[in-house]
Amino acid sequence: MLLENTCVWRPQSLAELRARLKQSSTGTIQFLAGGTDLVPALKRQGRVPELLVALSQIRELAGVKMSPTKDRLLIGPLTKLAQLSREPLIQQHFAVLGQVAGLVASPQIRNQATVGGNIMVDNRCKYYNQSEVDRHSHGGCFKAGGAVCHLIPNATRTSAPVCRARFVSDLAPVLILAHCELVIEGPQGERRIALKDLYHNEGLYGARLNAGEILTRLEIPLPLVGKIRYEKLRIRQAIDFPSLGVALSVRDEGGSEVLDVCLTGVDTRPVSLTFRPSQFATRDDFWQNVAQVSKKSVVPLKQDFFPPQYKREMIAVLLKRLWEGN
Amino acid sequence: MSYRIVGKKTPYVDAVDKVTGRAKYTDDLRLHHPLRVKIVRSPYANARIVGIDLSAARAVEGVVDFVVGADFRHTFGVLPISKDEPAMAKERVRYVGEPVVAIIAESERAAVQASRLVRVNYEVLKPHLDPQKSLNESTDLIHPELGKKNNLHKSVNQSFGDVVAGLRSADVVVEHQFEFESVTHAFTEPHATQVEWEGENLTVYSATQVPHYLHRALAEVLELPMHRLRVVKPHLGGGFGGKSDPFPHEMIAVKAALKTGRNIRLAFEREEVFYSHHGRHPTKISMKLGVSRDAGIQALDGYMLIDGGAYGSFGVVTTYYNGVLLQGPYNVPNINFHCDRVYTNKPMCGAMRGHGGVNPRFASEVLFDEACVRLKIDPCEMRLKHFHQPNSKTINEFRITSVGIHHGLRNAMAASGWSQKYQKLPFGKGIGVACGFFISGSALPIHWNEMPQSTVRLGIDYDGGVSLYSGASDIGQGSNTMLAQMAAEVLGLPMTMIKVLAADTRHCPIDYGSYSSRVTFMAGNAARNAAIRMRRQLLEAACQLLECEAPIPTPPGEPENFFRQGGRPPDYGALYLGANPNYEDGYLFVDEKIVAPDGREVKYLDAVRKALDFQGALQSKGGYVSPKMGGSFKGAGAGLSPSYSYTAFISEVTVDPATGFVKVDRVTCAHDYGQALNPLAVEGQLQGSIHMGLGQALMEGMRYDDGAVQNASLLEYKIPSPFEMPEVVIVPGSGDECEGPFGAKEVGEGALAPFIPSVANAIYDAVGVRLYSVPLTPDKVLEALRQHAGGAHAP
Repeated sequence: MLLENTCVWRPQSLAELRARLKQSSTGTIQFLAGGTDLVPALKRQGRVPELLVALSQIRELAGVKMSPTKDRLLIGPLTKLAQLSREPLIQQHFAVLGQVAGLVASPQIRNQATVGGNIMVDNRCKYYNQSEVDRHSHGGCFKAGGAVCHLIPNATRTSAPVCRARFVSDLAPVLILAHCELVIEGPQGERRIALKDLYHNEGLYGARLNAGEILTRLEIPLPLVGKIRYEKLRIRQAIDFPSLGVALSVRDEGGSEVLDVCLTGVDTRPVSLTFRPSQFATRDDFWQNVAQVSKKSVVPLKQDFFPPQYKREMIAVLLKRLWEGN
Repeated sequence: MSYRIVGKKTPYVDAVDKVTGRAKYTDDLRLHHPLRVKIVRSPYANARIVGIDLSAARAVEGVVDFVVGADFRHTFGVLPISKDEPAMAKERVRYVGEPVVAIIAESERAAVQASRLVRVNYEVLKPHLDPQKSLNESTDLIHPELGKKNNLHKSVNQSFGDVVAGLRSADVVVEHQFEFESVTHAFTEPHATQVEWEGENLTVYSATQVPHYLHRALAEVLELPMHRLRVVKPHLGGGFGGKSDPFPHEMIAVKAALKTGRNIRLAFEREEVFYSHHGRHPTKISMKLGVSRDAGIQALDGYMLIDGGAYGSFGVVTTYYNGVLLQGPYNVPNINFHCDRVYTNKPMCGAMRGHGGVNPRFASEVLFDEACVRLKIDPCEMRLKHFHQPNSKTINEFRITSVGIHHGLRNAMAASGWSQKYQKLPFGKGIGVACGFFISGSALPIHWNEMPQSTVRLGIDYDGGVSLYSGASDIGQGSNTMLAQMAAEVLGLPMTMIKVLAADTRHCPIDYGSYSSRVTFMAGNAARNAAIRMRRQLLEAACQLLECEAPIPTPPGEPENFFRQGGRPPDYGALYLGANPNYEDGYLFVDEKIVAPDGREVKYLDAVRKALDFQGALQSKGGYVSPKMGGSFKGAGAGLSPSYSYTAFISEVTVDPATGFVKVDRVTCAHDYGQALNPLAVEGQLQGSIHMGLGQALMEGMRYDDGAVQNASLLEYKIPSPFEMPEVVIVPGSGDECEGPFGAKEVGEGALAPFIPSVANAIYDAVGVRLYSVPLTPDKVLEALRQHAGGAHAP
């Protein structure tokens, strides 16, 4: 498969990139980091931006550091996932993040894929991540620029386009539970947002920054609030995106355990839930509540290897495993 | 007697080239300025082509010409009885992905750009996707041109003995419905073809398992004399049956060369491999098994509905194999099966590793296990009592020669700790057994003729190097290595002195190709026979140098006569060499020397040069033709093989009752491959069968939506990763096959089928549920557990 003709620009430093972004840009820009997700997508969609900005030479955006005040872990978005797993600072202060990075895809992909790319990964759907023949066969969906959602057939163009493409980052739920903040640079200067606010409840664009903006840093306040763990459900123990990912952080609230949960793979965004088991008379009541809340809070659709109902059920199963497996 | 090369772990002759990247696969060849071809495929499963507008595509700079359906007059198919496939769709498309227009352009970019500008006007029709409904359809037919009454492609109904009486006499009758998704080969190298002009002739380089069949089909479809076409198979990255048909893209590439007078390069994208498919048929089976405590299986009654997709491919054979391969590994005195292959608007199904025998094997082995549980008999002991006996005949007149499985299953039981584990493991852990049976090559050719099924030619020149010419297609299974072993062993030479030149229709004698696990048995025997004849010539020269009388070989006849006379029981004496006639004559060919019985020696090279003195060129040939065998009823030829392999699997699993995940922890495998010519290759084939079977067992499946394959990528089509692979223990389970080359029989396919039910039976042992729908995915396991517990299951 060939990439359509496009212009690729490879800035050598952040300063060079900043200067370019300040100019009122003509035409569409797409940032290219590791490219493990983007390049296949560009090839398959046959729609490429006018300018592809390859970030690989911007050294300032890669690597893990401790803040001068020693209370924040600073992660460059161009840090490779393989590097994240090996990084001593991560192993010391946020070991689970390194482990979760090691669950992504395969060694070859982890050598190339970046932290920024993982948290900004485009939402996926079996009708969108498809060949041209298949898209002609079914008719292009909203996300592919068409006028239909094959999962929700009665959705039409007259209302807002509907897209339930699912969010599939492994790192995001763990980072969200660690209260990760993003530092974003744009034409108006620098801004900060909580990672959880990056995501929207629709699958069309997934995570998206404003025009001309670039993610320059992830910041994680230390020490971490609770003990964070992650379980990933997928049919193969390598290669696959999460069919479901459950991240759990257990913290103490007045002597009782509080479970902060963040889910991936089952909705258009990472889904944050909080459970207070102490409010239930029995464990069975509690798990029933978890099942009910899971049912209300996430909308998995038939767009993945596993049936939606199974995925929904597995939320409680994995959560139980994480919690009781301490 | 021990051998120097046969039976030793021998790395493949092309291993270094492959791992260093030097080996050239079809798309690696660099022809002189080839034009690129891009195929525009149908987005519809069933539609009439109303019109094709190429004007916008033609205007793209670099576009040279097009190929369309109207360029071809003839349809084709690998089986002469089922030539229903056009090289490109003409008036009608029958599956999503069917080739409609091919663009020939100076560059890939121009071809891709033009492909997006081709306008095909379709009248979309309702597709036939469900095989049962398609079978019942009588008006709207997928192939009206065939003049059939419905969409049934092939129906086979065979009955032996008295099934009703057999079921009546059984102590227990078990029956169930089974369902199987389609699986595909997912080989590493996507299909590719290049065409090169040489004067008035064309050389077709193609990733094919069957150069000879491709040669025939190209000549017929393109209306060229065969001598103007030469088919060459370069290095090949996996076939598994998925490259054993002649393909539309091969016809298209040659047509493009003819239309433009230029060299042509065509290579598939991965998704095109999925559209092309030819994999295992989606199958529904309804099977009944009557088993008696003492006499084993009394009767087997089965109906199989197999979903063939849009065209015939190997489907007629598949239809037979669904039934006839159930004749083993146990004695089945009464059997009745009925298999229907039906056309649907999906990519066609065909041959895939274990061809036709895999899904029915699952059904029969799961039912057999169930019967043993109900009879409270150990399923291994039950199997041991009722395997075929050596030198026997099945009820449908298969000639059974060697059977090594009795001792194979006993070894597997010992190595796995079967008797300490079966029905004794804690909940969630289980152990299961299943056995299988497969052909070592089909005894009958696809095209009816009297030619040897394989012929090998040897030539030796002044430097003493041996050129071995064979039409056999090394598809990664190592047949070139096997052929070199045959010649090196017989002539007493190191492997490096044998140069195999294979799979080139201009230079190599005919071999039918790599399918039905026939190559080691047939081409191996042919190579061995050619080497035996070469040995006689060298021996004569050596005796001249020694100034003594050359011995008369015993028996004096041609090596092939052994088979023509129907083979004979092996002589287990010290000089037994498998596949007689014995070439032992007291002289020893070893270490590039010929040693006389009295100890005098002649150097190999001296003997070669002496022979050249009076012959000019040293040549020999050898062939293989199956002994005459089989019954005289209709369809008696299906499943006939000069020899059969047997397999026993004992699998151990862990089932997670909360998630339904199944992990196969350990597999103990005994496969009766006769004698291992190359233990390294044998182990590779068994590991490969287990990996491929594991995929079908637990996760693989072609997922269709309105006839379109939805998981046409290696990300979404789930081949197991190394994490899913179990520990594999291979135990000896072999006899000596008197007719195989040096005692060998098949190892490439047979082992796949019984692995899958061994996992299902282990799941039953682990958690007490039976699964009848393959793949055995976690959601199905969980649902079965819930049904079993009557809804009591909770996280």
